[in-house]
Amino acid sequence: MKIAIVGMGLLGRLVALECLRQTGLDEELTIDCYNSQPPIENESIRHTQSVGRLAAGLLGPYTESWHFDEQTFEEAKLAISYWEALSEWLNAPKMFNSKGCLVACHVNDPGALPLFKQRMQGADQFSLLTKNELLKLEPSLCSFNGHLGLLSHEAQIKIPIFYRTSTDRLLNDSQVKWISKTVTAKDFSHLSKAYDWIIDCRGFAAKEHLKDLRGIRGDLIQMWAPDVKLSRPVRFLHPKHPIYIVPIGSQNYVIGTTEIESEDIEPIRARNLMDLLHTAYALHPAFAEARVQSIHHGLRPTLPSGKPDILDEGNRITANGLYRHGYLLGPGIAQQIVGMMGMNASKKAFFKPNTFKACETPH
Amino acid sequence: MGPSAPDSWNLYDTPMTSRLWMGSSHFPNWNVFASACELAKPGFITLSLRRQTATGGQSYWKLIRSLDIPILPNTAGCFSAHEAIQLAEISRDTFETDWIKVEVIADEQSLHPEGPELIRACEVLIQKGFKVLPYCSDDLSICKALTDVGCRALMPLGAPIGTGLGLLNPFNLERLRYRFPKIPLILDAGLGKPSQATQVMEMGFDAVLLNTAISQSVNPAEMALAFLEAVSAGHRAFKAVPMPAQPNAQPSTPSMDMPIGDYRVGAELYGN
Repeated sequence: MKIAIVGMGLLGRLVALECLRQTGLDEELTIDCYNSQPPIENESIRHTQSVGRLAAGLLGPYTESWHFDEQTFEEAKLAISYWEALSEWLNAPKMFNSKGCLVACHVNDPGALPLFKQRMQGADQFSLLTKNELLKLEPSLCSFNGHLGLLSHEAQIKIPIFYRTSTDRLLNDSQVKWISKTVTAKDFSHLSKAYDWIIDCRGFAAKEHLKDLRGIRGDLIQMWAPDVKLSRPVRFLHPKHPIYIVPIGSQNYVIGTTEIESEDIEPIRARNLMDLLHTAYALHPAFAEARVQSIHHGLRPTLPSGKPDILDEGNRITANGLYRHGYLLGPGIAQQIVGMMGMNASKKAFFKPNTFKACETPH
Repeated sequence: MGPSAPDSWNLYDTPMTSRLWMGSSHFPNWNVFASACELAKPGFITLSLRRQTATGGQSYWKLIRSLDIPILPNTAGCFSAHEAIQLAEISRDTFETDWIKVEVIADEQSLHPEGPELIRACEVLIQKGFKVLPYCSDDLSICKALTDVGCRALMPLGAPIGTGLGLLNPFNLERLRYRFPKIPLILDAGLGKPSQATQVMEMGFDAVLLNTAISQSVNPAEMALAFLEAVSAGHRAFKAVPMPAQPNAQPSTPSMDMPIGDYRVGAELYGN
């Protein structure tokens, strides 16, 4: 079977890895990975065009559950065991952090916590921490002026490790070829003749193909903060944006992300930057002394439902609309795509293929 | 007017039918917002514009326009008349509408409206031909100054934006209705429950603008419908003129010829 995957962001990688994982050493399988950038650039947070590389990597089905209907919430929960298994398969145990997620609410915003709890699904999983519990879990936050709670069943993917190890895994496989080439709309008719399957995972770049797709901008900063000692992500309840402060290793943190209904790709606005920095500082004063390493922005590909969808067009399968939930919902989409290509998705799947509906008619 | 007669009102000489307007922020996703709009059929959808959204928001506006509901741009996030005027002009070009909801904020934490800067912005924008709807406090002197500069409608707050606290000062709101009987009054901000919308419509307000009360509820579409019905109930009650409150009980059933009732009264009186 000859497969072309177009776009090697998060979803493209997941599809490629899932193909390899499910077919084992099937010598008939070849996967050509088309991407506008070479692998090293695509891994680098400074140069990447993959919005998945610019995410915080939080596996937060509960914190994000306000966005989900009940079925999607159940599927999002399954992603945690998927990523745990994938990190073992990639032999990258440090990629997966299962220490849970803290939720922080500043003392000046007392209404935020009840609202957060009311809208979340599975609110019984959330518990406020006492000072003693906090001292054991995250001692550097003991001076935080507000309330902190824990969602112990959430986890985190360390994105730099995932991108690095998945690139290594793909490049070291003789069945996989990385082709640094920008695939345009015209190229697809040629590809459909040359391959058995073409998997279109271009994210926002597929806008010309999906009329309902829009970009929602997110800004993110990366900081080196040696005096901040966090071991798990923190979701800060901020009135304007859902902001996360996430340790990514080597005393580095990502602080993101804004959420703006705009496809603007200009540099970050000062006000949004101030929101991110101010939130980090409100959580821990040592962020004032941190070094800003880099500032990034990306456009989250979003469909009106806020959920991803799959478009089945002959031997071309287009998957898109992961919005801010690529790490939660991407695995289910990847497994469904592999199932659609006739591979035995249930035999070796980390979890049961989900039931996202494929579009019945082309957009 | 019969119970099912059409009930329109005028805003800057424009006939309006809906008395519920909706903001578009903080919904879980587009489809939820669209469902809420479909049920509530708002007279306006408010939308904020920033420089960033002005340059890249076309996809989102295309979706908003697909609802076929008039757009009311606002100047949310402005702290001076200058900023608000500039943003209103960008909004007019972008959305091709003269309607503008003018917000000039005095304090970032409470989002309380600034008085003098708001008045200045409204004066300039009216001269520039905008149909100005000022988001203002319930202070009579501010409201009077706004009408003096030419505002033909007022949008006083019920409580700080997004708090859901309801009508913090119903007395002031009733006085505004009494003092500006001919000016359309649209309650803007602070409501959390449909009963609060009913309360302000019973005072004779012309419409209610909501965002957070709907978008932050667990079921926004259902809440939008609840508010629609509440607004309608309050307005109908206002038109029907509620009875004045009475200090003494008034039997709702005539009791003159009820011998048992008379007998009991007599028994209590004479100790039998």
